[in-house]
Amino acid sequence: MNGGDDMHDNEYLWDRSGPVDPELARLERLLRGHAHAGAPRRVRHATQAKPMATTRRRRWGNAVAAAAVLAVCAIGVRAWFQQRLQWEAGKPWQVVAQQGDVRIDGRRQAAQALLATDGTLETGANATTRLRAAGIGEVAIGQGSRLRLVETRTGRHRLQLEQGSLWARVWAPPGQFGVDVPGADVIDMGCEFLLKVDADGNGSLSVLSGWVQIDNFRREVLVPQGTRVRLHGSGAAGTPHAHDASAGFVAALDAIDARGGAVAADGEEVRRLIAASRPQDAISLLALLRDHPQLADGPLFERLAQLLPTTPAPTREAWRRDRTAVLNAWWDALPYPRVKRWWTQWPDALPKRGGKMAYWLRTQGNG
Amino acid sequence: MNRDDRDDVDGTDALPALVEAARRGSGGAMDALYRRFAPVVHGVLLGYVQKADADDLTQDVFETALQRLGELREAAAFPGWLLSIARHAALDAKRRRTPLTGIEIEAVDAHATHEDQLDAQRSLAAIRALPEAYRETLMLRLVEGLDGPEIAVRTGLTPGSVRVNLHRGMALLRAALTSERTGAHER
Repeated sequence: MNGGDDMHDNEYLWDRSGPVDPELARLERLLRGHAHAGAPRRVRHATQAKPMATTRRRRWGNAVAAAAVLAVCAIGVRAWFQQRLQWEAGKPWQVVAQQGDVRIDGRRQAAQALLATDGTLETGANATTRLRAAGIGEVAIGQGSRLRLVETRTGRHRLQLEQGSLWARVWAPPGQFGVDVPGADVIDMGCEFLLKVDADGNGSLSVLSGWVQIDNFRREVLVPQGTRVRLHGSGAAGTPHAHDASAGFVAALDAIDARGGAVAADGEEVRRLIAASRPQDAISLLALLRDHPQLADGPLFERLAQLLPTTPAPTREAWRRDRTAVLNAWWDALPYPRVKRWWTQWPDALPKRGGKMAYWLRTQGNG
Repeated sequence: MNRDDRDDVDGTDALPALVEAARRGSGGAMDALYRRFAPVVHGVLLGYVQKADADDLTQDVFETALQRLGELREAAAFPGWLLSIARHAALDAKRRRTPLTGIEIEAVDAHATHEDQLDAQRSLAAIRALPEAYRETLMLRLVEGLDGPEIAVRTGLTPGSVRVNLHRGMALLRAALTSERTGAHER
């Protein structure tokens, strides 16, 4: 770091006319992504300043015309969106593609079959199928799966995956789409995810975009894009970890999960976990600390403060005074999109964005 | 055509003329003011709130300012007046903010590496911890890409004040980042 070279500051800092200060240039490069994006001004008729009297009539006419166009567009978008979300209670889901032995309620199906409420869909070895998830998305089912449509109506669509694998891509407000697995509910928060379970309910959930919530009626786990979480037949979900987390990190995390978090705050498992942690692993450390607050007495607290810098820097005193505030500040610092901005994942609504899903279907969920 | 009626206001027009035209309802003048001052408003807001909120609030600030333009007595005072609206909006947004577990997460530059994203977060956090005058000037210089003379024109500050803010702010920022790195190594 430059310790304050005045010549650099005087010239490059002031008007970029002098020699480039490497530290300044690096900060400019790091931070330029946060600059104003140059979005055009949002125009609302009501916010316009009053026009002059001599031109008022013409401007009023223009404003009315613009408002009418905007209103028509808004009505169109709203109608499309409502249409997408509307679904008659119990209306069957359409099978849009299939390969191999696919059965619904025990009967082998031709293409364009329908899956009704309480209907059970089964795929044999090397068989796959793809369903339209009401009007809000698409679901692909891998080989050796058994799936039931539990409920479908506007605002609530639930599947039960008894065993096998399922890829879902949904664009709808959080909570509308969900999959029950033995002991837990997997709730879509506006996203794309891959779910695998065996007949005993053991398996995993990988989130590819947005967020997914796992709820086993005692504990909720929020799983962001780029992370995976282990599912256990007992209904307990593990702690989320990055897809590319090291084997050592995952092993240490599993060891802590296996003991329900009841490990010493500065014990061997925690030390192994911290030693293997990278910035991308902050989500795991934060989820651990949220679920097992006693771990804040050990080095996990300092490591998290290092990985997720916040202002003001958290202290143990602040943690003891208001743990939620410290956790919220760290959640804020995580590099993931916001759940409440689920609609920004709009590419998930496009039917052609299915490259990964198509590849997965071809390779039968081996990816 | 009457000059006041035209919509293609030149972006280089003198500020008082632009403000007067906007006051009379010229959409072109309003757009020109927005183009000229949106990065400054955004930079000031970033000193208080996260980028996603700053993006939204920038629009809100301009809506409020253009609505209340009639209250501005002196057109030349527009920059300082606009930034005071921005600061109030930012403080108001911070007060109203509902804590949500795991949901309020800062948008990031999708093209940056993970390390760069974290370094950017650290740098932003360090700038936000600086006193207001230094914080705002550095946000405009390092994030919004304005140089010192541009900052002076668009904030209504004198060039001398901007120069002092930049130098003192940068010195404090260097010290904060160095101290953080040293602390991280010691940990």
